[in-house]
Amino acid sequence: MMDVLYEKDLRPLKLHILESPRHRRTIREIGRRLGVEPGWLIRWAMAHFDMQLLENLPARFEQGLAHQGADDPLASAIGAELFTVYLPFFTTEEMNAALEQARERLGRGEGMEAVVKDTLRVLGRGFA
Amino acid sequence: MKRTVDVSFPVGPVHPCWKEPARVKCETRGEYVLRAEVELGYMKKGIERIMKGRPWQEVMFLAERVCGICSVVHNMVFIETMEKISGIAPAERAAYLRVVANELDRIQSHLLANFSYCYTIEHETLGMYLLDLREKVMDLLEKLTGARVNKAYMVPGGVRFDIGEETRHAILGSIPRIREETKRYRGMFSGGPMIGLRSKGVGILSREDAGRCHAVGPTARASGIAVDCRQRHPTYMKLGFSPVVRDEGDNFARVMVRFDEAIQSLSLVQQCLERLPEGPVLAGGICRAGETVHRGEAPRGELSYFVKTDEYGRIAEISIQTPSIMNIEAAAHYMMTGAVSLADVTSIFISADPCIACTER
Repeated sequence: MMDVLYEKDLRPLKLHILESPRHRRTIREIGRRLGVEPGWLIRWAMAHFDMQLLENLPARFEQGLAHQGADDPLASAIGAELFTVYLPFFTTEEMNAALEQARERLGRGEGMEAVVKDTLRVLGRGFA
Repeated sequence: MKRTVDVSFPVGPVHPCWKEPARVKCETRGEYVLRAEVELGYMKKGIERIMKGRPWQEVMFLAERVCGICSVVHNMVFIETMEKISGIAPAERAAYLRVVANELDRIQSHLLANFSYCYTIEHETLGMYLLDLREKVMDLLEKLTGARVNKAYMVPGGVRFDIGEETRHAILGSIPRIREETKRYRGMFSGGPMIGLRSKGVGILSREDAGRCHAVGPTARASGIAVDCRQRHPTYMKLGFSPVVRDEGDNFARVMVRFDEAIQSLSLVQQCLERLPEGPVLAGGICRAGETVHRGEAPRGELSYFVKTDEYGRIAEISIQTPSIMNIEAAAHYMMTGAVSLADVTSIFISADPCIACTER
C-alpha cells in the first residue's frame, strides 16, 4: 500500500485554529445569528474551508459587519453579503433564493423580525 | 480539492523561494490557476497558549518571539496594550525612541521582503544589494537597542535604555546614505524591463477583494486602500504621517510601496532624532487588571492584540491577530486565482510578504 506523501489529515490542526479565543467568540456569534450550534458550524467550516480562511475568519467577520449596507434592511438583517461574500457559508444563489422567499413573506404583511428569524433558521439547516 | 482540474499542483512546504514552510495547493487547467488553498501546520508554536497564565513580564519577551523579522512591533503593540489597560502614558522621549526602533525595524523588514521578491524572480543581483543595505539598518538597530533580533526594547512607561549622543549622531549620519541607496535600488527595480515582465499586471488584488478579505499593510495600500494604524498613533500624528498608496494592485505595486515606505520611514527616524525631547525614558506605572484590544502597524500591516489580565498582572487571555493571516489569504484566494501561469504562483505569494511564523503563532 502506498500513501501520498504530505497528504495529511488536517482536522486536528484546523480544530486548533478554531480554538483560539477570537475564533471561539466569532463562531459563537455566527452561530447565534444563524441559530446553529457552534459545534455544527465548526464541523462544517473544517470540512469546507482551507486553513488560511479559517485563520482569517474573525477578521472577515469584523470586516463584513463593518461594511453592511443600510440601503436594504432585510438583506442586512439576514447578512446577505456577510454570509456569502465575507464568510462564504452560502452560495449567492442560496442566499438570493432565501431573500426572495423572505421578501414574498414581507409582502404578505408578515413581521420583519419573524421573517428574518425563519430565513436564518432555514439557511442554518444546511449545517446539520 | 474539486476534481474538475488537470492537475492539483502542490508548491511547498519546502520550496527554494519560501523563507518558511507552507504548502500552497493549486488547482490548474493547463498553466492557468483556477484556485489555490493553503495548508499550514509545519511550525505551529502555540505561543498564545504558552502566554496564558504567565505574568506580563514574561509575556513581554514571548510576544517578540512570535516573529523574528518584526519582533519590535510585537513588543511595541503588547506593551501599548498593557499601558492601555493600566492607564500608563509613556515618557515623551521614550515615545519618540519607540518610533525610531519601530521604523528601523520596518525598513529592514521591507528590504528583506523585497530581497525575497527579487530572489524569487531570479534577480539575485538586486536581491543581494538589498540584503547588504538591510545589514546597515540592522547595525543601526543593534546600536539603538543592543540586539539584532529579540530586543525587548520597550517596557510599560517607556524604553529600557536611553540613546547616547554618539548613537544619535551615528544613526542620523547613516540616514542620507541609506536613503540614497534605497532610491537607487528602487530605480533599478522600477526601470528593469525583465522585472516589469514578471511583476506588472501579475497577481492583481482589486480594491474590492482586498476589502473582502481584510487585506492590510502594503498589500492593501498597493490596492488603493489607505489603511495604516500609524495615522491614529499619537506620536506619528505629531510627525505628520500619511500612508503611501498605489492603485495598480499587482506584484510591482506591492514591492514599490515597500520601497517608498522604507524611504518614508527614514524621514520619520530622522524627524524623531532631530526633535527628540529631553527628559527621562521611563515613566512610572503599575500594570493592572483589565482587558482591551489594541492595534499597531507592523511592517506587514495591522497587528492586533487582545489581552485580558488579572489583578496580579498575569495574562488571563490573549489573542494575536497578525497581518500575514489576512495577506496570505488575499494571496491564495484572490491574487493567485486566475493567474495565467503557474510559474507566477511563487512570485505572487512572496509579493504579499508572507510570514508563516506570524500566521501560525
